[in-house]
This record gives sequence, structure tokens and C-alpha cells, in this order.
Amino acid sequence: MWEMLSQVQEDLFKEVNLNLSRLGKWWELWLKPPNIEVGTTPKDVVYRENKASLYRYHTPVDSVKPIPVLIVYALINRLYILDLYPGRSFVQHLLGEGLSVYAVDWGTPGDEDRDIPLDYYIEGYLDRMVRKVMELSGATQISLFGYCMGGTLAAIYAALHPKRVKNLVLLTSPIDFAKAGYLAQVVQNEHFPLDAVVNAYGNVPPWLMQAGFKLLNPIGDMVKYYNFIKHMHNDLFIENFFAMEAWVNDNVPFPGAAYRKYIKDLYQKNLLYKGLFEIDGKRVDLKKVTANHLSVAASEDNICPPQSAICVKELISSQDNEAIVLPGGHVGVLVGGRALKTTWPRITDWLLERSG
Amino acid sequence: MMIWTELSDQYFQWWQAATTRYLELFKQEPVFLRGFGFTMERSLQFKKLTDQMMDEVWRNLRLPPLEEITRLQERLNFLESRLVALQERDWSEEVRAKLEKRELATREDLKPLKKALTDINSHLPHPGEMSQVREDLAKIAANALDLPEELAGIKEALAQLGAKLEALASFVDKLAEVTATKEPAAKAK
Repeated sequence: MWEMLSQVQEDLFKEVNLNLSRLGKWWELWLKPPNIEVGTTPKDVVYRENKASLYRYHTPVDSVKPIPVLIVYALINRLYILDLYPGRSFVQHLLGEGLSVYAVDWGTPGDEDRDIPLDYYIEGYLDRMVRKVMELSGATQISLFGYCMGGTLAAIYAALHPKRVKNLVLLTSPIDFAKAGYLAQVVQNEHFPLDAVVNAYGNVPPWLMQAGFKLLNPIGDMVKYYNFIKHMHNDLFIENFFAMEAWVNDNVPFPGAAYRKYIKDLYQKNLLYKGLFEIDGKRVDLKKVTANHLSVAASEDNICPPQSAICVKELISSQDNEAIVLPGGHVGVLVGGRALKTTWPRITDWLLERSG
Repeated sequence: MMIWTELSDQYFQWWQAATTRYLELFKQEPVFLRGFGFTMERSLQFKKLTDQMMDEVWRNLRLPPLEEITRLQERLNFLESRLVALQERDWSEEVRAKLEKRELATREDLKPLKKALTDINSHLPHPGEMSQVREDLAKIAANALDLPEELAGIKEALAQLGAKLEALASFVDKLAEVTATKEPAAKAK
């Protein structure tokens, strides 16, 4: 009895001390919020058109593989999730392994970009950037790495220009939009006023996109802040938390015309999966993809559920064709603690084997 | 493990699971989705109306509304894209492709001519038939040797015809003289 009481007393004492240290940390963070620098890997802008830029990252090693990697990110949020901060940068990891890395930064679209169609993002910007990478690297083929919606764009590009793509890596990229979970359900034609949104705003504002994502997990923020309070005395956690917060709140508008086509043709009609999607009047047939292919889905992804991503394996003609599901959520699979030991080495090893 | 932390963790996890389950059911309800869509549509209509009114205000102040500035920027973007597209074009490759195409076109143009030649060739007599043609031509040429004599005969006949015509002409003159002398005498009677 006395032992139990003394245990409770000891726990209570520890708990009070821990909460006091949390309070102190809270005070410290409030007075001097940590300044986490994101996207710090040195890079050059090697091509620019309108708001879109092509980056070439500086390689820290002497010799690099001849096949360059071009990273294609989504039209929402920022590219620097792939280069969050030193130690949590997928780009740095690729560079350190001897790969030559380029990345497409779509920039922040202005009101004047609202009529740029999705077709131009693929056959205009992306096509020119692929050709620029080939020109700069001297390679006749490249590796395309697409993350989230960027993966969907990369898969479409690989189907339209199969000869230019040697390796295709898709990370949590929706292909079968009928299986894209709640997001697909909420944007259906019966209740989602797509045309009214685009007509009223031009570009879809970030807060509206965010509201959609919040709807996926309405108590996500509460869980996030609960974990923050729980781990706030851990400096590593704090660094990661603030970097992620910077990224999560640093949203960009989705260009209106591109959004209209993306939602209507892909989420509402699922044309890409059916083989009826068209870009610049050309039908996108995923069967034409012959590049070596690796798809990575995340087991707890509610933005792009695994079944929406890995089905691409059945649609393409690649001989070297693989689709895997790794633990984590849509973002966690790339920058979470586990990702450093699972996703990163898995993708890098796969690319290194095929970039010689 | 501290008992309070453990208890709060357990409670939070229970709350999170229960709330998530409830919200999942709620947010998939057609009534919720319809309500969400309806509210959104109405608020968008309101926004559009407000924007139109603001545009009118700017115009009345003799200032360009946002819409017009945006359209101008759009045109600039479009021009930039066109310029970049022109810069990016591989002119040498295009010229080569065009020449190749032109050469192909020339080959295409020659096709009917070739066909006509082939047709002519197919209708020409065989070498064996050619010797027959030569023989026929030689015969014609041999027959043509008698032609000058025949021509001389024709000339002679024509000369004789001329003498006969002259005699006929003198007869006609005499006849005219006779009719001229008899006509005044008849008038006097």
C-alpha cells in the first residue's frame, strides 16, 4: 500500500516537473520562436518561364551517375518538402548517393495565370524542363520522380514521351481517382460547385484547398498540438515540427483552368485510369509507359490511398515494374522519422541500380 | 512510465478514435455533402456579386479594375510563352525535316510521270516488232521513189490545162465583141 502511494507521489512529482519544463519551453518558444531555414541545399536556377523554375542542385560528390533525376512536385504547396532542412532533406540524400538532381518549382501563380491549362503545365513547362535537363546533363533519357500530384503529371508525361524517360518513380501519386478516398467523394459533381469556384476565384485560393484537406481529418490539428505539447521538450521534435508547420502553412493557389481539368477529368470522370484523358488533343495511354517503374504508396495515406496509387503497375507496359506500400501517411512517408530508414534508401537504391 | 501520462495518453487515444469514427460517419452523409455544396455555391455567388460591384466602383473612379489588369498580365504571359517557344525551337532540325519532307514531296510528284512512262513503255512494240516496223518504213520509202515522176506528169497536165483555158478565154472575148455590135442596131429599130 505504502509502496503504491510512494509510486504515485513520485510519478506526480515527475509529472509536475515535466509540465514545468514544458511551460518553460513554451515560454522560450514564445519569446524566441526557432528560425528553421527550409530548402537550404545549394542550387542554381537553370531555366525559368513565367513563375516556373528549374533548379539544379549542387552535388557534394565528385562523380555522379549519368542519368539525372528530375523531381516533379504538385501544383499545390511548396517543393521544399523534399528539401526540408539539413538532415531531413530527400534531395540531399539523393545528391549524397551520387545522383544528379534537378527539380521543377511551379512557383506561386498569380491571377494572370488562372487560364493556363493543365496541358501547358505538362506539354509546355514540364516538356521544356525535361529537354533542358537532357541538354545540360548530356543524357538522352532521364529519371522522373513525381510526388503526389507531381507523380500524376510525371506519369502522364512518361506516357506522352516514353523515349525520354528511363526511370519513373511515383510517390503517393493518384492514378485511379475512383479509389482516391474521401477527397474524390467530396469533389463529385452532384454537390461540388467546381465551375462556380473557378469562376469566382480564378485561381483556387490556398485556404479553400486547406479546408478540403482539413475535412479529410477534422481532428488532425488537435492531435498535432497534443503531440506538440507532449514532445515539446525534445529539440529534434521541435525542429521538425516548426519546419513542417512552415511548409503546411506556406500554400500556393491552384491555377484555375488547370484545377478545373484536374478535378473534372480526373477526380470526377477518372479519365486517366480509363485511358481517355487527353492533353493537347493527344490521348494519354498509360500503356505507352515503358520506363523502369517504381510506385511507392503510404499505408496510412488518406489523400492518395494505396489502392489509388499502386494500380498504375497494371496499366503500364514496363518490363521492370514494381509497386510497394510503405508505412506512413501522405507526407510522413517522405519526411517522417521512419522514412529515413525505409522510403529514402528504397528509392535511392532502386534509382542507383538503374542510373548507370 | 508515469501513471498520469499513461492515463492521459489512453484517454486521448480513446477520444481520438471515437471522434474520428463519428466524424467519418457524419462527413459522408449525403445531407452534409449537399449542405456543404449549397453553402459554398451561395457564398460564391455573393463573392462574384461583390467583385462586380467593386469593379464598377473602380471604373467610376476612372481606375482599371482588377479584372482588366489581370487580363493584361495574362496577355503578357501568353506573349512570354510564345517567345520562349520560339527561342526553344530547334530551327536546324525543323529546316532539315522540311527539306526531307520537300524531297519526299518531289518524289511523290514524280510518281505520275513515272507511271506514264511505264505505260508508254508497256505499249511500245517489242524489239522483234520493231524490225517489222522498219521493214514497213523501208517499203514506204521505196514507194516514195516513184513520186517525182508522178509529180512531173501532174505538172505537164496542168500546163496543158492552161493552154486549153487560154483558148477558151479568147473564145469568150470574141463572143463579147459580137454581142456588143448587135445590141445598138436592135435599139435603133
